[in-house]
Amino acid sequence: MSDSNSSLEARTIRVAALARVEGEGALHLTMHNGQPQDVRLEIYEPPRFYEAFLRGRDFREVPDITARICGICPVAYQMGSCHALEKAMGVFHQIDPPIRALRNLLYCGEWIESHVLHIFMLHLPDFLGYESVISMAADHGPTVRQALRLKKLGNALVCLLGGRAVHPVGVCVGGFYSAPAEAAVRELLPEVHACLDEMCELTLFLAEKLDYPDLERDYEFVALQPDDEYPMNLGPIASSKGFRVDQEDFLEVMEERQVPHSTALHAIIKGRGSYMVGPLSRLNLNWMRLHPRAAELLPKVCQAIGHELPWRNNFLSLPARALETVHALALAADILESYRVPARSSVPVEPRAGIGGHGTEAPRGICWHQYRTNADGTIAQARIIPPTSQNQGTIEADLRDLAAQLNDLDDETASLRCEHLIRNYDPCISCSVHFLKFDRQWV
Amino acid sequence: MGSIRPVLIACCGNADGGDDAFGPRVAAALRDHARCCQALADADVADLGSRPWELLDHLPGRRCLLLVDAAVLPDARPGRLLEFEWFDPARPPLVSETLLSTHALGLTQQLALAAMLDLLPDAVHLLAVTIRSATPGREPSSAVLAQVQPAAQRARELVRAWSR
Repeated sequence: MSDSNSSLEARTIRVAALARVEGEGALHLTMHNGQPQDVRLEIYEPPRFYEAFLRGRDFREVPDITARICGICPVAYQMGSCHALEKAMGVFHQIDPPIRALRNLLYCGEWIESHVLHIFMLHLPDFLGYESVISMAADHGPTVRQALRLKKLGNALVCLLGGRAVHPVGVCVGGFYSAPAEAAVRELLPEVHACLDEMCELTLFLAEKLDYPDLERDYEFVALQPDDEYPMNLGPIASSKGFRVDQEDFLEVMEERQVPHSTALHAIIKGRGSYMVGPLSRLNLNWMRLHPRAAELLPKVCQAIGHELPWRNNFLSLPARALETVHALALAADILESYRVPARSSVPVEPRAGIGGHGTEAPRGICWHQYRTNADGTIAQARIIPPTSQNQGTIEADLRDLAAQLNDLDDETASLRCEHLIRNYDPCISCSVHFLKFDRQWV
Repeated sequence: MGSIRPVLIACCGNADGGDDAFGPRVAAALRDHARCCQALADADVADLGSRPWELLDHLPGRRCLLLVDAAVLPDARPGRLLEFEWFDPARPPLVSETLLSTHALGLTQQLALAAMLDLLPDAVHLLAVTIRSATPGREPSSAVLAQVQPAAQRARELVRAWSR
């Protein structure tokens, strides 16, 4: 998994393949006299051509096509594409509140499934000192079973609205192809309540029983920041360092650039540098809008981990995800309890030439889409900025800061610490790629 | 809640991923046959698409598991239909665990986790087709498409054998 050479002055740690991270990636870290000389997170995933082969497609096909960019967060791609295309078609402000509520419910399902998978199957083994969830399950079987139950519920919520959990097909520009029957909705409620109670307990367990490595940085946190709810689908985009822009103006404050060692673009805030999207950014910017069931846990979590908000240590993304999972479960319960079959499941959308940009909060952070459409509704141009590519620069900066703490560690332990840090971001590497350059030089 | 059928046929692959669409195509063929002919009374068909980590959700209560996927064998002619017991050391690597997205909880890890949690079916079997490429946006090759119906037929035979 790793190799290194060491000398009195220079030490190189290479992790040839990152385990437990979606897609493929590798790390190259060179240290000289105890200081980091070179830090590169290399992405060597086969390039994706989605932005290119969306061109010429009918706008109605886009949600289903973009859902296949990422196997983990298809809902995020569908929501981003729908909202952006609704802006292009001029119907964004006509979406009925019941449809918006169902979109939030769909997102709750994805957050629950994705966060639970990451917390308990991928990240928790790091904190408890296990190689994988398999070895962890030998000692923590009940916890893993609880996680599987929660994950299954998340999938059930996605299936309720999306038709199926795998690549949901129920989403359309304008809303949903159909709305679920009230009986189907009610059937899920007992399980949602039971899982909510379990997740509250698990959240306190994660806060009280884990040791979180100390690595604080002065991040620029970026997230949606609506006025009246915890962010999922709507809201302007805000930064902890001062900007707050409408969705369409996101490209005025950020830009993407290519780096030679990666097929994923790196995003920066213009005039500043790298920034962070994801659960920690959302929580730091929006904690006051958490559902009450999550809000009442927050002070207990802060006390247990010994840090008040804002949290500037991305190892605390794990309790942030846990709080968001509680929020999603509680919000899902509210939506399910008040559900009535809406008068219509979608608004009519007529094709026209237009342009629209919109981002929603994928589990890993803002996933931003922009589409330009032709008069016949075909896609003239598409641009998709996934969360993982926005975090690339910040991950490398984290590794640069961590590097100084690795001097006294053997190479294998140092490699594992680097991997652990990268997993804080739950990077979804397989969807963070634009085709510019393909690099296979990792050994 | 209804009773769980003892056999699960779990098909993996990206329907938009060239030859990696083999699994979803076999799932569709099985469902089409069940609609027009005889349903698989003792089996459920799950199209896991490019999310093989959903397998664990479907395992509780299963006695037998048949996995259907595309196999990566660089020296093999594309379009060969292979059949293995899952734990056979000669089992080929699968696309769902190599090129395209898995969440590292691929099929191997999930089945190992299932064993740890006493969820592993008594029989775990693999039907795989060798492929040339899994390029997004392309149609499957004719060699791979030619194996969809034979794979579906073999799946039905296995279900009947396991149901006795």
